[in-house]
Amino acid sequence: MNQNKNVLTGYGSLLKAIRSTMSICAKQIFDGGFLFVAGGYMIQAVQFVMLIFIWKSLKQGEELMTYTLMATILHQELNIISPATASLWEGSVIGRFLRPIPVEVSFFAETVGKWWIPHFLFFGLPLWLLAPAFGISPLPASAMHGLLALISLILAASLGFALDLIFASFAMHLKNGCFAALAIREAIFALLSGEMIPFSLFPKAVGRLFSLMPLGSIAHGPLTIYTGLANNPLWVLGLQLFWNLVLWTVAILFFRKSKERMISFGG
Amino acid sequence: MVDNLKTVFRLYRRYAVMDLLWLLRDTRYFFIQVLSDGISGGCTVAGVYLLSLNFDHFAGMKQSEILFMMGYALFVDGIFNLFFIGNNSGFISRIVGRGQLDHLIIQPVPLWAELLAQGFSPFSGSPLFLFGTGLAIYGAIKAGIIINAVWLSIFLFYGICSCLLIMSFLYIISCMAFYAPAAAEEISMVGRDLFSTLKTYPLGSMNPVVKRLFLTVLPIGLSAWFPSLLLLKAGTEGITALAFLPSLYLPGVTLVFMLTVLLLFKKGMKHYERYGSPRYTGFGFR
Repeated sequence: MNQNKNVLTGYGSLLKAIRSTMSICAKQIFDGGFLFVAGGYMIQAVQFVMLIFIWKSLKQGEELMTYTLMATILHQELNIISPATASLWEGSVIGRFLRPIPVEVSFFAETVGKWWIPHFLFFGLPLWLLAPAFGISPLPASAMHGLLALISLILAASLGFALDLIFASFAMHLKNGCFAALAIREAIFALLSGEMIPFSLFPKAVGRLFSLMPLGSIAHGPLTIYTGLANNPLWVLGLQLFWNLVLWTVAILFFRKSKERMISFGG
Repeated sequence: MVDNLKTVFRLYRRYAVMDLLWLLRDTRYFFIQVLSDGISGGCTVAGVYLLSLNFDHFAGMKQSEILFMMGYALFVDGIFNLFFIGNNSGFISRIVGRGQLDHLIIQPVPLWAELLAQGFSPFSGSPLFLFGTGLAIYGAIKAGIIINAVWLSIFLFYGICSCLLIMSFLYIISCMAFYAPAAAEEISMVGRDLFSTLKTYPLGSMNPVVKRLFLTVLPIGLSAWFPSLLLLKAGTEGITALAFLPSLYLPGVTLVFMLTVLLLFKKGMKHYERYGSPRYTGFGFR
């Protein structure tokens, strides 16, 4: 009986269940071999090289190089796509409701295990260490900027999960249309987050407008703080906090409302 | 050969009818698709165009020229969507990796004919094509290009070459799926993303070594930037202003890539004929 309880409650605690899920997912990603993830890393590497050489030709300062370097390294943490939407069309979402952890927490643990950990170990960290060899400084503008950027990154990741939940709830209503909706999401994110093209390279008014939007708080926020490009880091953190409050409220309400449909549809 | 071509055209007609029926059956999804294509295309264009607004000459190109290049890039994507988006025709690694190649082999037509025709989606695949064509013409007018029949023919020819080059690149990397079906199943999507995200950047002021890389083995520069430069030159200075060798470079590289595809795909097929797809194991296949 005691053993059943342990198994059913995810080995006794939520934290252990999260850790177990992360660990399983981190190993699972390599089930198909390294090639399964190598393609994605290759795209990012080519994109990184291309953008670095374009920024170099524009002669806009060394901070831009660090900005693009960190955007590439933190790609998975900034552009959060949890298994929430994919599990709908794969039909596997129903299985997650049977696990002994809340479904939202399961999505979070899977994302960290499947994408964050392998990406950081096999792509992000080697690139960060190699950056000085390409003449790019991988360090933050100062120790304080580094600390604030870390806080900003946590807020950005939290915002990313909120947006992901909102999107999954929205996709639930689209059924087959969720493929198209995913394409819209990726295109909008690429433009409005500032991950690929820093807002400082856009016309001033446009850059300012984009930085105030929720997606701007995801990539532009932590990256500008890290590189010292943010005029007022505390304002950026405040804005991120504000968007977190707004989007998490919407996400919780929207996701709760969509859950019933999700369970009855089953994916 | 003539009979095979007739078969291809008959297949095109069939797939066009099926695409139309799907549109009539699921109009809501069709409009979502149109919206998705429009927004994706718009966002792709907007990023680099906004970037160019801040500089007089962004990587050696004026804003109007950048706009034309964006239009050309979307036009190429449009051709891809029109002819190769259906049934994963452009994403062959999915077909190979999922063990679905047998579905094509058992059809009473040659494999190449089925692959050429099964992606044809004239209704659901047309929004991006129309959007790209419109933007390219608008950009051409803004850039001062004199549009005539000869220039339009070159535009169409280069557009087809760029699309075939992307297709060839996708097929080359997809051949990995013959040997590692599970790991390489999504490799063609990865290749497509590479072109989608990067081809809209002008390479004019880039380091020559890196530029050469993007014009040869990783031909991202040939999918929009390089042909756009030639078309801008031909449109503003006349067709005679085009140098002979550069004007043949894109078709030449496309041909080399296509021949490589033939070679590698045949090799992969031989492997497939011998071993089949490992997906037909206890794990099953999709």
